[in-house]
Amino acid sequence: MTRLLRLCLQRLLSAVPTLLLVAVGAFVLIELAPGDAVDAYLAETGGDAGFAAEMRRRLGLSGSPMERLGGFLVGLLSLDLGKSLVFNRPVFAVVFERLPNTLLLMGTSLALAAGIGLSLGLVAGARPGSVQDRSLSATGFLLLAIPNFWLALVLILAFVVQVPLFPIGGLSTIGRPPSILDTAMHLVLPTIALGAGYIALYLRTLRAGMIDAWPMDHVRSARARGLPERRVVLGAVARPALLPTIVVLGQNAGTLVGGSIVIETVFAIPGTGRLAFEAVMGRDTAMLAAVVLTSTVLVIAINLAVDLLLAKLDPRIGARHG
Amino acid sequence: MADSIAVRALSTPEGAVGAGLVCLVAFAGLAAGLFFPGDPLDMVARPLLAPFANPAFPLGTDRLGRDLAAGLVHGARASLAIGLSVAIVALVIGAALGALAGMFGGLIDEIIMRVADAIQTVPAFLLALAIVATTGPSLLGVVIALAASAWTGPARVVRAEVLSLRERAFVDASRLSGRSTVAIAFSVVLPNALSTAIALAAIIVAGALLSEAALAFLGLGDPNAASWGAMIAEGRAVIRTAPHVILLPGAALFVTVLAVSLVGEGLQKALTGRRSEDR
Repeated sequence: MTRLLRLCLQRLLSAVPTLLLVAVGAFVLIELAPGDAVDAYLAETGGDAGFAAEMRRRLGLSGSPMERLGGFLVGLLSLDLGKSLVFNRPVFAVVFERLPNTLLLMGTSLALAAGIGLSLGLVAGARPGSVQDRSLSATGFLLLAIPNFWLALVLILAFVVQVPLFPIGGLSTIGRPPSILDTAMHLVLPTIALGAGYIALYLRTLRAGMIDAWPMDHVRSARARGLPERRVVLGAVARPALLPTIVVLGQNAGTLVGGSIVIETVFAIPGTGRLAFEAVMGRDTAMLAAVVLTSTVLVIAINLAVDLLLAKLDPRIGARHG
Repeated sequence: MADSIAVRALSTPEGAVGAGLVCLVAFAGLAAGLFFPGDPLDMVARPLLAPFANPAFPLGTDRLGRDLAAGLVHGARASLAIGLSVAIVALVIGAALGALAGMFGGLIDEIIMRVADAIQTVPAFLLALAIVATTGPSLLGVVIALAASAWTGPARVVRAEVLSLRERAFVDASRLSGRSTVAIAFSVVLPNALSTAIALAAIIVAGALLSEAALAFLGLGDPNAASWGAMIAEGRAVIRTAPHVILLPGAALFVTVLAVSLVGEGLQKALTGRRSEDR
């Protein structure tokens, strides 16, 4: 267990400079944005210069850039980046309120992708070069080229407009008591739209891993021991090919978070992705910074989980000597 | 060496089909001004004309009476222009930074790679969104926003190649002849590492096409240019009555991304083929 603990600490330590750089980057973006939050607020309400100056002082927007950066970083340590002017609430309070919805959508999408993608990959990789392999691989390639926001609209067209099977808009029907079934029905289309690309990714990764595994000695010896073909494919070929599919999850965590921005916007799901879009539209730069930083931490957390899982499965990782 | 890779890539089925489709889209984009000389954003006919209803507007019109066929070909031009610009900017900056990091090592290497780490940790589309929010929605803004995360891939590839090439004899020979590290990096090492980086270009272009369309879909593209993403966004309001307004530009985008990915697959195969023969 000390090996995993050491690995965990190591990764957390190397995340510190990354987070610091992202925080400085977020601050620079806020500084470069035309006008600040006060300008955006005054554009809607109106107010004189004195009012603007008073507001800037209250929001910590006066002072030199270095002073403001210091204030920004100190604020970040206590998860306080000030108030959102759109919501008139602390930005991180709004982000954390919406984070569960995004995590739910990401979770269902990944589950769908892993379930379907790995099964199809298993079928394809079981007989490389066969008709089923070629057609599945081609389908995977097509899936990767579909724009997710367009897929979302096509799904809406097919299953909401033409054949009204699923509700859309948010994660529950307004005016009805919240129920798991209702939320599940709302999640079906967004989950497919966000997960489709990952189905292809899992399919391709598992298939490639299995193709690499086929010529290995342990497969031949499994055959020689007289194991049924089924057990050879599952135990000897597919098992080692599962590790790369876990690696792929970590590598694409950022794409998943990015994809949720568009999908949540299309389906009006109140998650952090749509919050990012709303922040850009409302020039709510503090909110945008909070979403960027939270998403970055999310990506780091997913990668940490992936690393730990890999290390748990493969005792060579993180071992001190060789 | 780059020539033979292109030839090999074209001789794979993926590469041939992909290159053919890319040429088709590129031709449509280049000839856009010829076939549809007017502004594709002008109203030219009755709104929401169905496809094939009027031979003058074969694909129909959108909610504002804009010719969809004109929008599609002008959109092809904009998409390809942005995709290529992003790839060129990302490759040039990535290759330069990767070569510097690999040649000098030490602090320079540490700084460049830490920044690359940080950028790769931020979700790329979120970074693009934040940058466009800062620069404002313009063609240049979109290219900067997408290249900002795309350079890290080529940088890593070139740095790794440089590190493996650095200790070889011909680089030592160049150093003994008195050339500076920078000159060696750019004249000797970089051309060797470039073929690997170019295979990345197709992946970057495909990603840029998708991200540009998604930005335009969210209303963050250049408002004065025809764009498939913006056309799809415009069609959302009439999804019940005129689904062709979203289906056509989406299909165009899908085919283009598919074509570029196929070219990338062909290049990848050509490169790994060369590698296995080297051994």
